Amino acid sequence: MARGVPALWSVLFGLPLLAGGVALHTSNQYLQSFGRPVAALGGFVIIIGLIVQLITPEPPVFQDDENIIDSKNPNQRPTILKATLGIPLFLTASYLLYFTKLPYVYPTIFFFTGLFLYSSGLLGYWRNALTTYYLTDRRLISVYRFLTLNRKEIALPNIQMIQERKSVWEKLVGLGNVRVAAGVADLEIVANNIRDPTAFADQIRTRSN
Amino acid sequence: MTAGTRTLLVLLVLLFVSSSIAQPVIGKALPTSQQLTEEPDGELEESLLELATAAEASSIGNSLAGQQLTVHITMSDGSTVTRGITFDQTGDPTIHESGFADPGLTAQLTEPTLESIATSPEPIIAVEKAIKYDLIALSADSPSNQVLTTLGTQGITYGGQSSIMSASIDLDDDPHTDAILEIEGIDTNSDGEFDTLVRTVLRDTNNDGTLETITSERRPVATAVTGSVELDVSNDNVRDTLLRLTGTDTNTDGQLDRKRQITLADTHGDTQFDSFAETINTISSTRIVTGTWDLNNDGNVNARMEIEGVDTDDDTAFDRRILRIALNLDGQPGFESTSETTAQINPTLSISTEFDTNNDGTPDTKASLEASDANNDGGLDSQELAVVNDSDGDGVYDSVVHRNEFRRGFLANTGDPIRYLDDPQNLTLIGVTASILSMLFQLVQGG
Repeated sequence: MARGVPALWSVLFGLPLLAGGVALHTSNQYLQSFGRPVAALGGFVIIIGLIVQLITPEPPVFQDDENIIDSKNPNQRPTILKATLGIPLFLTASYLLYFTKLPYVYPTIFFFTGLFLYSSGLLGYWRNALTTYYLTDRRLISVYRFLTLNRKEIALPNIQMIQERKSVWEKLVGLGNVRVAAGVADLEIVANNIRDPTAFADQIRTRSN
Repeated sequence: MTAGTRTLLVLLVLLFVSSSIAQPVIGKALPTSQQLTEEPDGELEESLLELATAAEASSIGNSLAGQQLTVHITMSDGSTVTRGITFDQTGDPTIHESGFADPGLTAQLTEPTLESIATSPEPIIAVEKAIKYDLIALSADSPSNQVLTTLGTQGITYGGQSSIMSASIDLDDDPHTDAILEIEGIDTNSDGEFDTLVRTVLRDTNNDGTLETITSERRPVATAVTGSVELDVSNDNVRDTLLRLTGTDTNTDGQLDRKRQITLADTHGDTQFDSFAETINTISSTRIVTGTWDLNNDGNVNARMEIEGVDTDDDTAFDRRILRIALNLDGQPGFESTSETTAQINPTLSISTEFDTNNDGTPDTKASLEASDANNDGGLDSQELAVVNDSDGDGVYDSVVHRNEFRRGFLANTGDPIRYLDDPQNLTLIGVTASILSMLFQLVQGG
C-alpha cells in the first residue's frame, strides 16, 4: 500500500467534478457537452487515486554491511494546497463563462490557471505518495514506482554538488527540497517537499566528505 | 488654487447644477400656441394650466408666486380669448375666466400663420417650439429679473425660402432689449417645406444698447421619409400585402423620431386590399438637453453643458448617453476647454420568435437571439442564438435543438481551424484532455 491515503484525497477532489459533470450532462440546459470532459476528469482522478493506493513501493536491496542513516518521504501539504487553490478558480471560470457575457479570454485564463494548479497539485500528491528517499553510509537512493520502477542512486563519494531550495509552495508550508548531483551523466536526485532540508543536506555533506 | 483644481470644481458644479436644473426646464416647455388654438374649448382650461405650470417652472430665480398673469390668446377663427392666471404663495396657478384690470404680467399667444400651417405645418410648429425651448434655457441662464417681453413672429414669408421667428428678452428690466433669439427656417429645395434651421442668439453683453451675435447654428431638418414595399406573403406569385413606413422628425432635431407603419393585406385573394393595420411608434433617436451658465456673474456665458441621448437600435429607448462640457475660464472669446464622455444605457438587445412546427395551434419551438455589449464600448460584441423545443407538448421548453454563442475578444474570426476554439465546450474538452494526458505521462515516466 502506498503511503498516506491517496484514495481518500483523490475521491475528495474527483467526486465533485464527477458529480457536477454528470449533473450537467443529464441536465436539459445548454451545459450538456460541457459536462462530459468535467466528469471525465473527475473519474480519472478517482481511478488514479485508487490505483496509487493499491501500489506498494518496494524498498531497495541493501548490502549486508550497509547502514541506513536516514529515510525521507515527501510531505503532502504543498501539493494539497496547490490542488485546493484550483477549485475556486474553476468556480470563477464557470461564473464568468455562464453568468456573464465577458469575452472568452477571461474565463479561459481562470479555467486554465485552475486546471494547472489542480492537475499539478494532484500529480505531485500521487508522485510523492510513491516516492521514498534513502540515505545510507554509502549512497543516496530515490525510489519511485507506479506502473514502472524508477530507482536512482548516487554513491556518496561521487557527489559533486548539493543544493538547497524552497519553492513558493514549499515556503508557504515550511518545507524545502535538496538537489544532489553527481559529476557523471547528468545524474541527479531531487528530494522534494521534505521537512528540515538543511539537516538532510548536512547529513549528505558529512557522509560524502 | 491650481488651474486643474479650479477646472475640477467647475466640472463638479456643472454636474450638480445640470442635474437639478437642465432636465426640469426642458421637461416643462410651454405648450405651443397651435396646441392652444386648435384644442376644443373644453380643453382650453387644461392647456392654460399647463402654460401656467410651465411659466412658473421657467421663472427660476424670479418666482411668480403671488403674482397675476393676463393671457391673450388668438384663436384659429381670428377671435381673441383672454384669461387671467393668479399664482398663490406656493406658485400653484388658478385660472380665471377673464383678465385683470391691472394686467400685471401679460403674455401674447398669437398665431398669425394658421393658413400656412395648413400647407406646411410641422416646420412652423418646430420653429415655434425651438424658440420656446431656447427661451426657457436663456431665462434659466439669466442672473435675475428676466422678463419675457415679446414672443411672436416677425418677417414671416411663405411660399418663399425663408421664415424668421424671433423673441426679445429684457434681462434687467431696463428700457433696452438685452437678448434676441432668432430661428430661421429655410426651404433650400423650394418644395414648400423647411429643410434647414438657423438659430441665432444676439445679446447686449456690455449693456451699451448694441446687440452682439453670440451663437449662430445651422442644422438640417428631416421632416418625413416614406417608403413602401409589396410582399407576396402567401407565396402564390401574387403580391398580397403592402407595407408602408413613414418616419417623421417631429422635434426638428434632424432625426426621425416617429415611425408610422401601415399594413394593407388582401386576405381573400381577390386582388383587393381588405385588411388594414396601423402602428405608430415613437423613436427616441436623439435628444439633446443644453444648459449654459455665467459662473463668475460677468454677464457672459462661460460654461455650457450638453447631454445627448441616442437610440442606436431604434427600440424607442435611449441606449447611449453623451455628456459634453465646454468651459471658458480665461475670459477670451470661445471655449478653450471641452470634454466629451460617452456611456452606455441598456447595452443588450434580445429578440425571440415562437413557431408551431407541428401545426397543432400551440407554439412548440422558440428561437431567441440576444446581443450584448460586454465591454461597454457602444458596439454589440457578443451574441447567442438558441433554439429550444417543447418535446412532450406540456407547454414547457425542455430540449435544446441548437445553440450557438459567439463573443468577440478571443480568437475570433481568424480562420476556420482557429474558430473551433471559440466554443467554450471545445476549450474545456481540449484543456481537460491535455491535462489528463500530461498527468498520465508524468506518472508513468516517474520522478
